[in-house]
Amino acid sequence: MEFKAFADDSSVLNIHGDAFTVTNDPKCVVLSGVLELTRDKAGLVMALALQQAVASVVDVLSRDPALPEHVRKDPGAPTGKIKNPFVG
Amino acid sequence: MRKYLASALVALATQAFASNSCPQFSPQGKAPVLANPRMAVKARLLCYSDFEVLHSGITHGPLWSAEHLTRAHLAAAKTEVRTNRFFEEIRLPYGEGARLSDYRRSGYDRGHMSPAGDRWSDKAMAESFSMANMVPQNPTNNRRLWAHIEEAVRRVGLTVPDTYVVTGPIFKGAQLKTIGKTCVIVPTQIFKVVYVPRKRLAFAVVVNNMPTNRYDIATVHELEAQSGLRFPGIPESLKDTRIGGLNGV
Repeated sequence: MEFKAFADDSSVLNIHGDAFTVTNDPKCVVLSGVLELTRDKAGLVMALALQQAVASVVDVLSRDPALPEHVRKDPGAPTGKIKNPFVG
Repeated sequence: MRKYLASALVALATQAFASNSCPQFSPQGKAPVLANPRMAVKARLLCYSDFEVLHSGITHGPLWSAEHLTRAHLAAAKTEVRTNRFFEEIRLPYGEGARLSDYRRSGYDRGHMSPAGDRWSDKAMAESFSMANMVPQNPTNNRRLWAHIEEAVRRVGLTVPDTYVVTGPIFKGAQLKTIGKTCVIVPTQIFKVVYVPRKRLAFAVVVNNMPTNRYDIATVHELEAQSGLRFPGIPESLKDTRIGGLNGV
């Protein structure tokens, strides 16, 4: 399955287990972790996966005619409070 | 005696809700037990191909997630490259599981309990993205400290034939924060209990669910007292051992 940047907020590309993750979101793709790209076939597989994901990000951004200078940050969703159900 | 009966009842209550059981992920087939009867309400056991979860319809997330790591499987897990997808757990009754929308713009990451990076097959890795295996976790914590702790536990696992790990949330205090329409409860702490039979070693790691680089090492007995869980598969004689720290965290 190809990583389609900004397409959803539920897909995650895992490279080298979860050493490195690319987490999708309609407004902000998050790259997280440390990736050791070894000079071997495994390193090539990882590098290609990373390249595909980043290429997808670049593709979406560069094709957007209405790309803003800075995207406006969404206001956070309201959070709630609850009495601890496990004490008392 | 009364105490013994109470915990036996809790164990029964937990089992009664279990759709099936998967003893292979716990030492001697003995899964964690709920010592606090309030936690047993709407607690349901979910088996996956290489981990299991006790899910709470009260917190709308896992109470614990158990895995049995083997050196061979961890070595296979390291090379996994794939695109996964977070998904809502359809095996749970409506309203008990967290929805994807609960976490949206909540300010919290969907924090894996049994980590994706320990899974050694495509199927198991995909399964680890079940919302039933997630708690609302501070993003900085999840991406830095917790990632290092997961990696440190994997390094332990690679030095021995097998390791049992239980990961879960702790809910402390009179009042708790919730996110989303489902009111998914945000844990105050997150723990791991690690048992290495070959080394006759058991210990716990506890972190506050906040942007911190600090973790605490606890004995299994201390963790049992904090979490409301009991770990009957770990020998009692190992439950007071305190290790110095985790390498590389």
